[in-house]
Amino acid sequence: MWFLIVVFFALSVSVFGDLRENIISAYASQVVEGQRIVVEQSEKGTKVRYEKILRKGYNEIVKVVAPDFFEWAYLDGKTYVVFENEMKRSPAMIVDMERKFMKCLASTPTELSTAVVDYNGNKAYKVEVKNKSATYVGIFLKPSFLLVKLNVQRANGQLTITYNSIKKVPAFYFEKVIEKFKVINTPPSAMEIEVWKMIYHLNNVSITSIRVNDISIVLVKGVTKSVGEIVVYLFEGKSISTDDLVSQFKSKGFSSLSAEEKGINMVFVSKIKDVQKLKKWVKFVLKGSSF
Amino acid sequence: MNCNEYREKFIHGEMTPAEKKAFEEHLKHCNECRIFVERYKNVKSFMKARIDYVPSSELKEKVLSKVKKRQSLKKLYMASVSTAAVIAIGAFFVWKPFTSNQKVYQRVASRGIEMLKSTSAASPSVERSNRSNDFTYMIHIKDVSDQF
Ligand SMILES: [Zn+2]
Repeated sequence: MWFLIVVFFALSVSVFGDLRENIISAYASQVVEGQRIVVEQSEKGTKVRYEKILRKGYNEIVKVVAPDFFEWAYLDGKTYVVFENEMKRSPAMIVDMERKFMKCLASTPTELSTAVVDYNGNKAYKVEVKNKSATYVGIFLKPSFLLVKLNVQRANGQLTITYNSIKKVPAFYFEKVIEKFKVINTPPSAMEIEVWKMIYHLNNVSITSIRVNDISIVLVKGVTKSVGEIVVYLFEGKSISTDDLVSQFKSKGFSSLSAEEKGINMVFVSKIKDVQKLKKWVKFVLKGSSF
Repeated sequence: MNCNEYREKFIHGEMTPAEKKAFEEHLKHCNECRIFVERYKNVKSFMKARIDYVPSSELKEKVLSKVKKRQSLKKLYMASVSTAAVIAIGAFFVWKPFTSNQKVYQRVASRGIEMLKSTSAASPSVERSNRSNDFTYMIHIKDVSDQF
């Protein structure tokens, strides 16, 4: 009896092991075009978006077409934001859940289970993988190994990607599309990196900018749990004194402090009475690199 | 069924008539599911209009010429608006020359204070353009990238 169980276990491990290998190598060599709907549910609410994908292996161009238009790309380990005919390096890595799932599938063989299921009348593999932070369930069509559905469960919410169409396209098609873009590989500027830090750590963000004496000042407004509403001024150069600006806010009864990071001056303003809380948040944001 | 199970089935059109009825009943009491359905339908209908529609070449011509007309009108409008904005900003910062440095700081500070006082809108960003010369595109990055 034990012998049989061991044989079965070994067999299943090797079969599933092969399946995993097959899926991973198929994904890496596929050139596909698809449309998918992404639903994110968390304590912050539900977000739905619609995306058109052109993918060659792990490289991809993602066109978010609803609710807000936004186009980005992942090419050889770097992410880019598309501005009409140009691709510019993104100040932060843009993470596609699919990529995370495939990475997890490749790196955690122990927590894997698979089954053959029916998916909308098609035979498919259901592949479940787990790591410390998430459980992924992917559906791959048989025999093409096309990923048509992915569900990710985490402690603070879940995400579902559902393709309503996906097809293989000739490999040259991807290159043809990429050729049309001018890929700018200049790393993101210090200003972009600092503005991103603020956006990353704030909720309900809005941005505006003003020009004073030939200096452009970026204003980022947002909300945090510990401080409430915050406005951050970001600018380059020394012609505006952060101290003078801070004392302006203090004289009007606001909490305010300044900081400097890689040549970018920052002034933080909040209605909070306890300036120490603001200080703590600023320290956290400027120290904790988000990417 | 719980909210998630309902939503899951709803997205994939997998509901039996009885389940549909139960979900409709559920929607009467569950605000979150109502918002979910509404958003989902909005995105869906937007997609129908955008993707399923393949115009004939003749119609395409017509539409394009209309769009061009509208764009040139829009350009004119934008030009006048931006000129007005430049004049307004100019008036603010140039035409009234700063009597003292103190005044500059007061003005710079007042913009932030205005922002602090304005209540956060439900839809967060001002205008979500994809232009590289402003930073609003970064809000999109946050929206579409997995954050964890
Ligand atoms: Zn509900």
